[in-house]
Amino acid sequence: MEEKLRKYVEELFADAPKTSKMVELREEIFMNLKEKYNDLIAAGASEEEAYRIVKGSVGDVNELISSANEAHTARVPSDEERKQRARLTAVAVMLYILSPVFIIALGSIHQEIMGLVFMFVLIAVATGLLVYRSSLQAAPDYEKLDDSMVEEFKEWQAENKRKKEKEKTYAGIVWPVIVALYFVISFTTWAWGITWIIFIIGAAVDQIIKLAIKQE
Amino acid sequence: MSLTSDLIRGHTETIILAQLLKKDSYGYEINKSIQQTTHGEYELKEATLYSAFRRLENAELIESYWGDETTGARRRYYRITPLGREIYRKNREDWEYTKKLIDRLI
Repeated sequence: MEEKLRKYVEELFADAPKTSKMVELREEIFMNLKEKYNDLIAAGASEEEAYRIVKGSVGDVNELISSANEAHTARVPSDEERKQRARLTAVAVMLYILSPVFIIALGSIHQEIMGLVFMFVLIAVATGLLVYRSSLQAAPDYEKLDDSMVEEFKEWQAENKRKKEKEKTYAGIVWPVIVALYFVISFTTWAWGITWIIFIIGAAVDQIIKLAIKQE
Repeated sequence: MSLTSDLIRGHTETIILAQLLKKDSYGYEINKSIQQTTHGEYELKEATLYSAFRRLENAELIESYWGDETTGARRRYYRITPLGREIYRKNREDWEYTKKLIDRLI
């Protein structure tokens, strides 16, 4: 019967946000209902009867949830933010699509190298836009339910996840950029014998930036 | 009964403050005490009781703390604050005045 009562209280709070205040309120109500239930049983009521009386005495929980829930609304991105993100994505995709056009157009007048350079520049700009866009929608801070270790761990986990995402977007762009640089510089200087050093410098820069992200 | 409970509803918070003047208490105990005092004629709904707690707490008329029961789960106790005592006195005066007035009118 106690399980049935607990389930009932949990159902009452099913739509309530999972904040520390809500969890406390749920526990408080469950404790008090349980005591009432036990008293009724001790006074000679049957289990069914006691459960029915307890359930009937709860009343309208919605007013209660809203009274305990001020200033606890989750943050939703505004329309403005969503539009801005959509615009950035649209521009980036457009740049990707347009990038080979230069090779075709400039290739027809025997300027293949310039075409290649323009293509990589466009790709770099487009990728930059996407990275900027992802930085706009950083995951929200995790709100601790209480001060226990578990909650601290969850907070740390959320923080870590955010860092990982940053690393991932960064890893996605660094090597394409290095390769682009290699081709651009090689084609413009024609110093193929030495430009391979860009890869070594690139690897070093890559490690330095990764380290910087980790220590942030 | 429904008319009476509407009348009483406006005084829910003062009723709770009056219970807490006697001693620190928790939800079920307060409701039980109300029921006993009225010989079972009046009882608060759980939702009404706990919303009143939240309002009183936000207004700093009461404060809560978790009990340290050694057996079973812990209860959340409420304690009246000095501000709560003051508001209780004022509400009581208001009620005495209203009662006199209504007695003369009806």
